[in-house]
Amino acid sequence: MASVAGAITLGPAEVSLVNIRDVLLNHLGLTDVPVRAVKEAIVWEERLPRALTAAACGAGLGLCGAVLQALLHNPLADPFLLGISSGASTGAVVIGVLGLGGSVLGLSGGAFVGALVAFGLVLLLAGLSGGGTDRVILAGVAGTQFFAALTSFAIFAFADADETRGVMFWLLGSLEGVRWDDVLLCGVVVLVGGAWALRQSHALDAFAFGDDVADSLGIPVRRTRLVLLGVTALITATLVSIAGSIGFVGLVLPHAARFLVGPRHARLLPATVLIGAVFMVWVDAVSRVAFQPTPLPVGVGTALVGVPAFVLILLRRRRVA
Amino acid sequence: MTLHADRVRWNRGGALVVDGVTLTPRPGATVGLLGPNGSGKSSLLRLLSGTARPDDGTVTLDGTDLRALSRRSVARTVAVVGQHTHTDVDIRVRDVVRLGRIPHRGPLGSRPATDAAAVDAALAATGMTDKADRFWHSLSGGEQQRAHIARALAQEPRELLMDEPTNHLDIRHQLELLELVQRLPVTTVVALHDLNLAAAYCDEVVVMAAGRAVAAGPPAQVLTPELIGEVYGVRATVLVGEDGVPTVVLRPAAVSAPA
Repeated sequence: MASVAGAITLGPAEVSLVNIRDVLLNHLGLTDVPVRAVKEAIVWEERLPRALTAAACGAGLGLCGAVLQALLHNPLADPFLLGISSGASTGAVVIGVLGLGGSVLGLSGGAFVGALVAFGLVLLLAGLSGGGTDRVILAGVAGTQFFAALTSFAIFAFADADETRGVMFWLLGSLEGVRWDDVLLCGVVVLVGGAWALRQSHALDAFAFGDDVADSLGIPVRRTRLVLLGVTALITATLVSIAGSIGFVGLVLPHAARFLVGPRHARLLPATVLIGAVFMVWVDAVSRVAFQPTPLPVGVGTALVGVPAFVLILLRRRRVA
Repeated sequence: MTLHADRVRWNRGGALVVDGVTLTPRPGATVGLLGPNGSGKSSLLRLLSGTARPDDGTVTLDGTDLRALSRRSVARTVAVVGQHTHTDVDIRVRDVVRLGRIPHRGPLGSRPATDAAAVDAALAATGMTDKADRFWHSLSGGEQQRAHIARALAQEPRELLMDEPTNHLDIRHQLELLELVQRLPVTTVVALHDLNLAAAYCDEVVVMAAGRAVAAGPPAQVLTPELIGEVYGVRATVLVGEDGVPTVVLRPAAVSAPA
């Protein structure tokens, strides 16, 4: 909450914390303090939805990363492992560059459909090849490469310079121009998905020693994995379709959270969600103002800010161990 | 009633790894599974735990086919200590042992007091109490093995399935572990390589070769030089001590026994 408020004050137009409080309370119908219309618009129509979407993205991507790392026994798993981001980019490119069905779906809709198509194909391939965790990962790598190539091919063959730049910017992740309905969608998806994952936190713990141990602890391994993979895919596809593929958060923040609260998912998942939300709000705020008036793609910002932060944690952790 | 395998067959990727084995452990008994590598010991344990399903025959728990039971209800009765179970997770011993409480979670979550008591008892039984707060990766192979056994005990099982649990243990811990298993009021099926450990601690042994159970019964009856020669392809002398426990002395097949 404090981070969201703090981040809103950053930006080319000056907005104070008092302004934010007044705008919020006015909208909740609790007060009727006069606020200048420009500031009102900046806070309510622009910065607040943007900060909340950033928080949802950070929370959701972190959550998905933590879940996938447990399910696939792989510390390098991230939300984009299963072809979701490259499928989304293919979908967006098909809409944005080729103009197929653009009026109905829009860039976001195309990305969402592309992400789910890619995820479905990856799961199908993984299932056909035996269904073990290594097969899921290999199928994901293959799917990711294939859809990335499709995207590049479509851009190379059909796009002009402007379209290319637009798609590239979107691919790197951007929270430009998010609206309240985006906030609502992201928020609901992340909350529902997060609650679901949290209910399964003991099952995620059971995966620590592999499928056989999980099975002997009474976890229906294949069903649990399939359902949770589906939940993470839906969350990720939603977030990607709204904000593009924001890297780093889903891969590294779960590790940061693990350093802080340990590996038990009942604590790890909420911690990852919280760290992810706060982290993204600040990275997005910094990305907005760092190179004014040109915004930095937030996906670039996450890695630029996040890697040094992660290195610090690693070094501190080494001294403790 | 207990865990019971009735003429189970398992065709695993084209190889018949378990071929018509029937196993009926007495409640509370310790049953040793013996046999050379690839004879089907691990595969039979996987069928008994329900991790794999037989192509033919049935595994029943208290008379009910395992296939008709949820994984969770099986896990409340049957615990498994497998081979090669490692993790990349930075997890403490106590949290590893606590995994054993997962099948006992109710619809409203866990019962912290009951769980903590079971975890403490399991740590004490395996001599791991003073290592409860250590990280998994800082343990020796034998300590990791004991932590897995503690995890299985925290499950408070009635049936315990163990696949070569004495691997990685020094001789003192091998003896301690099997003494513990023998003392526990659970039915145990344990795959073992060491014939003498099996002879000393198992109430019954089942010898497997090429997926079949070729002999079964009390160790003193089963472990004869003829059977050992036939199954393992080695020469053996069997000495029977005053307590009736046989001791197997092995000699390489190529070397002729002294006259």
